[in-house]
Amino acid sequence: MHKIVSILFFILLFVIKSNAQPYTLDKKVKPIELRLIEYNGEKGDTTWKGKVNFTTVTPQKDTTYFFVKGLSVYQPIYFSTTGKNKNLEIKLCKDTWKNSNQNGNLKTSDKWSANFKTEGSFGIMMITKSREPYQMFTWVGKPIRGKDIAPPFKKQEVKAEKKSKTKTKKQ
Amino acid sequence: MKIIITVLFLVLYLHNNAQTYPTIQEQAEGVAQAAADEWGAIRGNDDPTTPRGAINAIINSQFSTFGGLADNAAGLWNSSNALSNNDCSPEFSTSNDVLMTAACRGATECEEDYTKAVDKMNGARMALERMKCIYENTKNFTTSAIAFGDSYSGFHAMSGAAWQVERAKINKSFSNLKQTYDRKYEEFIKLLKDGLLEFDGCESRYAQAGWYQRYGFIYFEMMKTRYKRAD
Repeated sequence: MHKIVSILFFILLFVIKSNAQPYTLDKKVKPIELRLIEYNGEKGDTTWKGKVNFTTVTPQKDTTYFFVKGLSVYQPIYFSTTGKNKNLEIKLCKDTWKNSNQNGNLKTSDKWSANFKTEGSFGIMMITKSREPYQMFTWVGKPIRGKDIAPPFKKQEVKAEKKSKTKTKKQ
Repeated sequence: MKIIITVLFLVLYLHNNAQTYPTIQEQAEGVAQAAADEWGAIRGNDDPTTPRGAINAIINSQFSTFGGLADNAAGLWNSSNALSNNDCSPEFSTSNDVLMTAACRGATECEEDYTKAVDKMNGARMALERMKCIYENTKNFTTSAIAFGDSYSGFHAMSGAAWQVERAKINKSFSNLKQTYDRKYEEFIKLLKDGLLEFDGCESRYAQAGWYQRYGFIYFEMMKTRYKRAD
């Protein structure tokens, strides 16, 4: 039995490592990918252009597992859950399903959201005894660019134009 | 005959499972996945009394919260933390001791020239930082997996022997990553130096000669140390 479990562990470890999902020893855990699709903004406004997924779930199990993949650490990520399911618990997981990194619920509000950054993928664990539907919304922004990061330059005012003008006159 | 029947059943089983697995899974979980072509239809419907319009209204409410979080995607990225405490988060701050001077400030004449050099430098900085993050995340994951395996393998002699084989594989895989890191390090650090030397050229043209010797060199040496693999 131990041998089977250990083989299962290593198969899971390498399969999951290659898929970059949180790992588990439980073979019943079959996370569903939330596929991201292109989002070009609304009515010409491209401020929030990126990728998006909107999924409605009518739970048929107490715990359902999802994951989002293909993320760069340079992309902003926004995840939210909405619905009237007051019993819903949300867990966002990185390395393992056992240790969640962000938690929430819909007890007091119809909406729970989180924004963060991560490399590769993240897992979403939805726990509820109720069969009331809920919605999941994932938005992944465009990666930041060089101009968005802190510059390695001192703040100073040097009149570069003057020198360049002098240079032009000499020529 | 028994073999033929067994093979037939096996083929049938594999065939059915391969074809129906995603459907079964989606049905079992009760998931309605928004497909790419469906997305346009959802966003095109503004009537909140229709099911599509209701979904549209929820999505609109999601995007409306973005305005309260940040002005744009870069702002949201800057204000976001890493998902996990163990997750590496890119860090671009530079110590005051190695900050460099830049003569071109908002002057259109020099701007284009400088921008090309700065873009190259920033490209290298982002590549180095992302590589460092991937390396650190993988290192943490590998350390956890090995610690888990080491503690588990003590329960059973056979699993202990099997673990040693797998442990060696994990270590080899991590060792390959180290080699890749070192190779890419050389590539990205060269890109950074190229950018700094281009910047030096700009400074010579518009401000002062010898910028690299005075400022660029110190910054470059700091960056070399910062991203050199220490383990």
